[in-house]
Amino acid sequence: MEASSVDTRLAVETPDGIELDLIPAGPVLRAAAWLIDSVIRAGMLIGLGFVLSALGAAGIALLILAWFLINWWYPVLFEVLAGGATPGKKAFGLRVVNEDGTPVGWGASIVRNLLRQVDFLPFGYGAGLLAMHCNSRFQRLGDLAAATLVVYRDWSVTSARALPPGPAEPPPLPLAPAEQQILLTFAERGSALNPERIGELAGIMTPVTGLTGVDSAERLLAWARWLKGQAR
Amino acid sequence: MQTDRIALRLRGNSEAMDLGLQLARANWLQMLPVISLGMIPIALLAALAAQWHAPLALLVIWLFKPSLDRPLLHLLSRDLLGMAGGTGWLWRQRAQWWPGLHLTSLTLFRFHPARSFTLPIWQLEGQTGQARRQRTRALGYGSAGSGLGLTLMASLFELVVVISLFALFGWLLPASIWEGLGAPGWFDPAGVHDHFWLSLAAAYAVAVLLVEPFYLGAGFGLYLNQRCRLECWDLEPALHRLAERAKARPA
Repeated sequence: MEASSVDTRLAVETPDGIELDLIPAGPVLRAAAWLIDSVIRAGMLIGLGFVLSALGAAGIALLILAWFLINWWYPVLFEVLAGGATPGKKAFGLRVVNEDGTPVGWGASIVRNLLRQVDFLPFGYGAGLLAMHCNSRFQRLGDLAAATLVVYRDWSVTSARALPPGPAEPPPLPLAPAEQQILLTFAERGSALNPERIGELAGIMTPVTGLTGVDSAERLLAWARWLKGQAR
Repeated sequence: MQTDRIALRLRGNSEAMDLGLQLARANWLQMLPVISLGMIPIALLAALAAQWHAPLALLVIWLFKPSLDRPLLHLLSRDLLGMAGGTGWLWRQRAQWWPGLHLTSLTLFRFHPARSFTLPIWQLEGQTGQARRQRTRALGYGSAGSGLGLTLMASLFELVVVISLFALFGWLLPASIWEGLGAPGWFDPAGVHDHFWLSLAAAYAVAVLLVEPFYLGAGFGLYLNQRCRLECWDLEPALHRLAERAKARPA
């Protein structure tokens, strides 16, 4: 039996029937985001401690109250009211969504953050770390219970780069949109490759261009320029 | 490179590491016996070193981690090509993964900040000298920071596992066993007990068994992505398909 292909991308369908790609984020970035959030929370408590210590016993009572609020509500408030991301998650381009890609609401956010206490066990998110590797979507126990995912907010890596200047000519055969995209991507990213590798890749297209190596690459580049001109 | 095992695409560095984690997850049942068997000689060596000085057991386990990575990396890289076998197959293939800067990776490069990312270059590509240095620099461009972050996080995760194991045993074992091991005196500054160091070394060995395959996988994912970036691996299949279609088209 052929094993299925391993991928990071997850296709989901939103309630209104739109196909959407989500990319769940793994433990490395999420732990880093948690560390940042912890520093922020500790800073808030220390700052409050300085201010409230001036109030004596009443200040201590207020501090305990603040500790409770910050400990339990900090992630929930940010996740529901600030686009699914605490400051730490935001810093690393992560956000929390429901499994169907919709924004996370009060119920789901409270569940996933209440269960942090379980994920944290026995120490330092040991259970959460284990759970994340027991499913293919990096969900800790809180995520599984609340049916939420932590995903990359913005994951396009290819910035449209300008093509090197030169002649443009139409390709000899009609190309489907996906095929046009391949030619454009090759032209955009190809300039970063070494000439040998460009020749090797363009050599695949020798039956179409009728040329070999770097000459073939030049021809592909000319087609890409023409396609780009068309698109404009 | 042509593979159906993973979806090749140019990814961000973090997502590339996640792909590596998923690949390690898919191969975990094959990796666990391999790394466990590999741990046996290292544990014996650590026990020997502990006879002399107990904390050395930890150092020995730490030092030989790169040796444990080698068969695992061989397994992952062959799995991409659909050629991976079991533990016995891996043993017969040892001539392919044992050499390749093995000694250097245990000494000079042991402190390399992104060793799971550079191991594929040292072990799989086989360049030497200046060529290898240039290659490492070229591939590391734009990913060195992520490789370092990965190493830091992996050490943190090992620490989490070690403390978690201690906490679990603390809750589950009866207090008399801990007292028998002299646990109350472990943190006595006058002299930390040998039992503490040996328990720590045992917990660390378990942490390595759990974390190392994923650390290696994530580094391999980063490596694969850098090759997509610098060599457009991900475009190759699509170009082949386009050429095929053009050939099949009636002239």
